[in-house]
Amino acid sequence: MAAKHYGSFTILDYSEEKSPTSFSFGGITALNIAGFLTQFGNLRTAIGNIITGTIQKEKWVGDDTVLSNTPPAASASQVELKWLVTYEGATTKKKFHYEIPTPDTDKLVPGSDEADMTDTDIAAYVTAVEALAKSPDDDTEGINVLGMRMVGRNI
Amino acid sequence: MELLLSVLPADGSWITFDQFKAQAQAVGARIDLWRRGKQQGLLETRLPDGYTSASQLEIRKVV
Repeated sequence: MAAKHYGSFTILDYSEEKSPTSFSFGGITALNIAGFLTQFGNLRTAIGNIITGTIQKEKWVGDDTVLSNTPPAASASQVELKWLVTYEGATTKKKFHYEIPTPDTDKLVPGSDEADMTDTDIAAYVTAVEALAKSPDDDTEGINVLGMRMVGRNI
Repeated sequence: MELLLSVLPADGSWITFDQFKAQAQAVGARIDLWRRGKQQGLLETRLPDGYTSASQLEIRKVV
């Protein structure tokens, strides 16, 4: 079993609820930590541009930093809504998914619940996460983002 | 895909993603195919270290 390396960003919504988005990546070494921190920062920025909530906290092995406790101003920023990100292992093509709270609905394809993959903020997010994240099954295997969809409760 | 790739510099130099979208739109290319092109290794995207705006996203053809 390969070692597990993972991190998360915690998102704060309008009603001051919190929800995390988590991801896997390769092992951190003295040789790659500078590059890792750059990619981690890029991913934080990229997520911030595709959601409406506040990135409240980030975490990876050895880092647990509160970034902000200020809730977002938009009342529609709610953790009950998510980006559902579907991705695959770049080699195995095995499919996985994860969620990001408080999606920015301005990034949707009009008349759908699909993210506009041609939106520059979405493209930057895809670039940032594909540069950093690895398959949960193999921390040396890269990933391909296949799509992003807004999901929530439908009672 | 060929039409989309045709809007990228032939020498593999980087242009911004926003420039790429504008040029692709001008020739009627399907911009969404950039994902497939990246997965197939035909093009690549990058962000500068410590980037602050998605307008800094760049794309190039792999030559």
